[in-house]
Amino acid sequence: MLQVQNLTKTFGEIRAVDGVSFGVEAGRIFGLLGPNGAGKTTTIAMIAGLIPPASGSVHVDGLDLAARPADVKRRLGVVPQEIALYEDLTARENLDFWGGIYGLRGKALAARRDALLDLVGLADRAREPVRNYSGGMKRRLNLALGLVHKPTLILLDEPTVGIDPQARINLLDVVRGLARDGAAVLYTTHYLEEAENLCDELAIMDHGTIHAQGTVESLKAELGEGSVLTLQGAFSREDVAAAVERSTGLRALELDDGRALLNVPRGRAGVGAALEAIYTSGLHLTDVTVKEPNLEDLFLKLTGRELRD
Amino acid sequence: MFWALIRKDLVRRRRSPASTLVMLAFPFMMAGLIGSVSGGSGGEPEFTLKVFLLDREDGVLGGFLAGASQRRDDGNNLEIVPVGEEGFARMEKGEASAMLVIPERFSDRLLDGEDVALQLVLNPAESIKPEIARQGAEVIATYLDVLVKSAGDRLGHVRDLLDADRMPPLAVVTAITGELYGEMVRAEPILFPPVVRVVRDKEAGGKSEQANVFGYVLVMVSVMSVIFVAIRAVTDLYEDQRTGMLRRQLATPLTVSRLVAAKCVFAALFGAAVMAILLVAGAFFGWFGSGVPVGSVLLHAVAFALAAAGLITVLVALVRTEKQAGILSWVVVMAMSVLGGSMFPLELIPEAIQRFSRFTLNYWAIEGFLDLMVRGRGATAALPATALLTGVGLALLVIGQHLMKRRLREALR
Ligand SMILES: Nc1ncnc2c1ncn2[C@@H]1O[C@H](COP(=O)(O)OP(=O)(O)OP(=O)(O)O)[C@@H](O)[C@H]1O
Ligand SMILES: [Mg+2]
Repeated sequence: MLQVQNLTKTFGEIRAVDGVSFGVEAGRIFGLLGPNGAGKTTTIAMIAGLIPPASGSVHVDGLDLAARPADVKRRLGVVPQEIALYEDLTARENLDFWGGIYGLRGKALAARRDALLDLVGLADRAREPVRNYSGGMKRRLNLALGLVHKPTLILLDEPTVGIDPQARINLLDVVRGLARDGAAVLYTTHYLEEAENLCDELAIMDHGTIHAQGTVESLKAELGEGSVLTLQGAFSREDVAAAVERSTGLRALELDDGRALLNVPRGRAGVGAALEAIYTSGLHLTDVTVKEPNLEDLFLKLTGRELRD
Repeated sequence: MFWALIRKDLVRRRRSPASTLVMLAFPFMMAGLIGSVSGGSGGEPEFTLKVFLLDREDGVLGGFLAGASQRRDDGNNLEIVPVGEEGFARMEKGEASAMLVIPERFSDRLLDGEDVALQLVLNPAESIKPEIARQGAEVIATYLDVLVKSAGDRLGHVRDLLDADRMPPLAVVTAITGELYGEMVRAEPILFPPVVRVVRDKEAGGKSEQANVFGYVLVMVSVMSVIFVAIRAVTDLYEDQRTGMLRRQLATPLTVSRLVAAKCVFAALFGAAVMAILLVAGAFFGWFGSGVPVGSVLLHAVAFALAAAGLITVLVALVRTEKQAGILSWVVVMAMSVLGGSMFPLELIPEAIQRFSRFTLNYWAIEGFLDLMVRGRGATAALPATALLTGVGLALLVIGQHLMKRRLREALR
């Protein structure tokens, strides 16, 4: 449904997006996971035809965005990161307006509008000016507005920022439902759990480039079979590298002064042997954790920094 | 798609009606204010009202009026020039704003209770001054009417006294004057009504078929409202940019050109509607004569609103921020309003400055509306002005749309 090839965008010195390629199939949710400034919003803006890429191409349903922008945009539903609503209008009126833009009218529009209000749980407040809504309610309406015309490709830019846990669960359910109904969904977030639970496929993005891409399982596999051992303490990178060298089976994922991320192979000896090896190496440790690998670890491995909120 | 945009703007105006209401109320306030001020004390520019007086009676009233010429401190001067029968010819040449004709034996017939009338010749080339003269004459007529009704008997004495060959005894003069004075004080509210009062009396009686100062001022100021409506509409584009609505709309099949065009169409429609409402309300109050060519007026309103939308689009697209847009358009509107006759009637503007009037939208709008509604020049009288506004409006729209497109695209980068 969506094919992005080698997209690049620079703002002066900043390479906001740098050679990004990926694809999203119909009925699938593709996650773009990255911290602030990774280039997620810039990528979405280029796919939505809002800013022209410096290079690269976007195809939707086989249509080239550069050649047929209107046809491509008709298939898109964009939910921007910044909430954009007419605050003086009611939820109904906002929906009517967006429906009208896509040529919906009369009964069809009314039915669609009411269905969406139910979907995002705003039916009982639909006749109030949006100005009166809470931040979370505005978020939900923000989402609904991008869905009025039943788009086949939905671009969601951090749609869950600032809503309460229950509303988030509901919203993620809505997104799953959209994919189930056959839409291709591109979902950006900097929340790991969201990416992990929601997305069929993920790309990990930082500084404008995609560092890894695949299903959640395949990405975790990059951390190796087994567990992840995290060490913190007063040691140098060289010390810990030497200790890993001497041990059997331990594999360095990410090494730094004062911090190390290691892979511990599955097996009988496993964690115990690993801990012993570290212990006998004489490293000055303050904190040791052992856990199943998660995307946080992968992100740390790939970018050398943590995914912050 | 296009109409969804216009509909949305309409609904938003209905949701936040304050600014629209101000645009509607403002011309009425000004009409009331200026209307009453023109009849009384000062506007800023030197205002000289020149009225010819043709006194066929050669009696008291004429003498009294001839002495009424006054040069006042506040710069509002009334010049009453006695003329003979050649006054009609001089009026044809437009030498005065109006000519008051006192018929033969006017005073006698008045005092005898006969039906008498002052005749007033207005200069058709001017519009507001003859109007003031007409109202002045009405005041005089009312004054005389009340005077005769309330003090008829005593006035007979006055006539006798004035006609007498001998100097009347001082005591008698003092007594009669005192009595008259008392009557006049009692009658003062009726004798010296503010212009507003005269007009209200007139409306109530529904006698006047003619336009008046109020209609004139309403037209002048309503034109400003239409431009303000355009400013509000077009600067909405900057608001949409600020709130992210613009980006959002551009992620749909809508293009920048469409958005700008829709905004201009909305500004034109809404501006024309505001103008129409104001004029209809003015007509309802009896401020315009009967037989206003409604179709021509509407056409002219649409043409003008279109031109206003075009001009504002150009102005707003020339600057970078919403705030600058607000300031620039305000300055231009004020300048156009002063030069183009929205602040002061054109006739009061010095001729040197009047040369610039023709470069304002206000001038063409006002001239057109006045020809159609106040001067009663017929349904086709404003066609040149309407056509000019349409042409200029379309040209400005094309330029403005182009500039705006560039400006908004730039802002998206
Ligand atoms: N209009 C712009 N002008 C200059 N630089 C920009 C512009 N838009 C984005 N950038 C820069 O491009 C980089 C990527 O920004 P982008 O908004 O795409 O990140 P993001 O992944 O969406 O971040 P966030 O999670 O904070 O939304 C950042 O360094 C940002 O400062
Ligand atoms: Mg972003």
